[in-house]
Amino acid sequence: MNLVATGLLWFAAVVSLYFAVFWFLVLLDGDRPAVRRKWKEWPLVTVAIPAWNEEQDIEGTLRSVLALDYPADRLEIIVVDDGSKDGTVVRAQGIVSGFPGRDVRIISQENGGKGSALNTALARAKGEFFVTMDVDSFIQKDGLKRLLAYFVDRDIAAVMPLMAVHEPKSLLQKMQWTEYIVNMFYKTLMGRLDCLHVVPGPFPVYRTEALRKVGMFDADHNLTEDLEMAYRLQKNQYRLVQATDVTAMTKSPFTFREFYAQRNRWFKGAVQNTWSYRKLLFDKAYGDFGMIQLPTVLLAGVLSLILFSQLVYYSAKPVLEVGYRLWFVDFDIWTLLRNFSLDLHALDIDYMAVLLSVAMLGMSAVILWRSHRMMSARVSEQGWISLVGFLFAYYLVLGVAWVGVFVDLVRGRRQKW
Amino acid sequence: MVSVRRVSTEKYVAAGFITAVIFLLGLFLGFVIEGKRVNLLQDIEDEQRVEFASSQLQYAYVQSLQARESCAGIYKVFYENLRRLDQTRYRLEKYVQDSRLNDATFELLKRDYTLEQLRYWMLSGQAREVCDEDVVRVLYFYSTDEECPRCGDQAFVLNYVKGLLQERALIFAIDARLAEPMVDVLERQHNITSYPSLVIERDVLSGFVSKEAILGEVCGKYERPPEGCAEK
Repeated sequence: MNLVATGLLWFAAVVSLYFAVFWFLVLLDGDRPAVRRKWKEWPLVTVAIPAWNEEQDIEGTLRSVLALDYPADRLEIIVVDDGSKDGTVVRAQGIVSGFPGRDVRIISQENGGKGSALNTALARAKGEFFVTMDVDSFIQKDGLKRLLAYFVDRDIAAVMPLMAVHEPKSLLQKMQWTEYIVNMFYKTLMGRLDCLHVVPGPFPVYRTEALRKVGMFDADHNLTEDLEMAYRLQKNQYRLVQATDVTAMTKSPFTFREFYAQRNRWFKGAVQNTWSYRKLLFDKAYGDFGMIQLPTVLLAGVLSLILFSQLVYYSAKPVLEVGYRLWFVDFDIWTLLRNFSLDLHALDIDYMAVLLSVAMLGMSAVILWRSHRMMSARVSEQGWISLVGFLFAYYLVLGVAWVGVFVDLVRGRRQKW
Repeated sequence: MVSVRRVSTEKYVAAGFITAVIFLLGLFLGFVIEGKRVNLLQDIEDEQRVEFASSQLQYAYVQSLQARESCAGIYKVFYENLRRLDQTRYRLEKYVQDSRLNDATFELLKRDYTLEQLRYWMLSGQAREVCDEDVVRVLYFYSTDEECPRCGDQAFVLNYVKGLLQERALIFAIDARLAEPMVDVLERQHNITSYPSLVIERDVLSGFVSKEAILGEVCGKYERPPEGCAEK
């Protein structure tokens, strides 16, 4: 067991270090010069808001879209009620009535999932550009104009804003706040290599024509239809662009239970979709997306499982052993302590592990600093406790979600969106 | 649509190269550290050899001059040396586990330490005769986790007994896998065929032995049982 555990740990260490070094090199390589399009006339844009039992949140999101700094006659808003059983529709109608003259439609349909709701909107969309908006998110006023400025080439199918956690309150939300910032930074690095693998729900702008060409959203209850759409666009050799000057705010799970459910769905969706698109893996025709991004998505789960199991194994084993052995001595800890002496020497340290940890922590510190600078945030903005928690405990929490995914997949358990 | 997708081959190679360099650096550092560890253990061994010679001479002195009033002080130093020797043995075991290059050197060092322990074991017999020290000696034969799954439990219990009886119990841990003729001699003499095995003075207990059984056996051998024996 020890040999297997050590082997797995070394594998995880080597692969993790390799990826960390790779992305660090991408960072050092610098960004491409920024090119922006100046629109003479703003294009017609359709914003689709799929909603299922969103009575509580629909108002904030809808008002955020209605408040966009964009010509009202060039903006079409479609709210698709996906078979809500609460007062979502009434609430939405109430808000819309306060904005006479705005092109807002509310369409109700049988519950068919988010992909189906988006397709309902897409089928009716008149806009040259199609925006999806999750009902737990908000966009800055000039967000749409800024995002449209990134459409400088015909091969750009989607431009997405940065994402940030809206008003984090719990420790878990604060750790997610840091995670989102770091992830957004990684996404800008991925953008440099044209290998973005997901177009998140809050306010990405798609070229409508591209969406229709590749065949609409996956309405077959895909757990991560946004990720699947990104894969399909990549497969069809479209470009996805990460904007760096627009931020969409999104509400994050407050409790661990909500968090687990969300991540379980995301991770499972990522594994299932990556498996569906496995022909793209290591195919040079898809550039860095096939060569590094897709393997990373799969390996992220494997590495997470390995590191989580190792941490549990190496932490739990001695604790359980001591607990079990204390039973032989009637739990007389005091006598054991009398014989205990701390005998430490500098040469006892495992320098290989120290070197790897220093290398990883050093790179993490740089990434942390650069990512916060990109988002104009302070590293300690949510407090040091959540930062330390993020650095040393958060990936353990993610490991729990990965274990759940692994168990569900092995047991063949199906999951609804 | 993109006509030709970019593959960052040079970055893949560079990342692989840097990763390899970091690991090679780690390995190199490991080898340097291993060399330092060998030196450290050799230095401690040299020091302990001198300490042993000193203890031996002190007991010889007491024996020849019947200077029994020095016994308490001599035994204190003797016991402290033995405790340090055991700590070094423990450290050596850990270094052997981590060893990547100097297996043969570590093996030799381990033999040296085992012999040193056995010298102390024999000298403790002399201490008892010369200074009338009321101590009980225990030889503990252990092996690998695979060959001896209960050796870890046994070591834990022995450590507890040691905590209970303090300097009145002298426990000498002997790695049965060691290619050392003296260990074979002891095993043959006490008919040790399985591990863990304990030799409490001349009595042999094989298999895992509970703290009650050890205390029963050890405490029965004292002329003046220490406080810890009341625990049994």
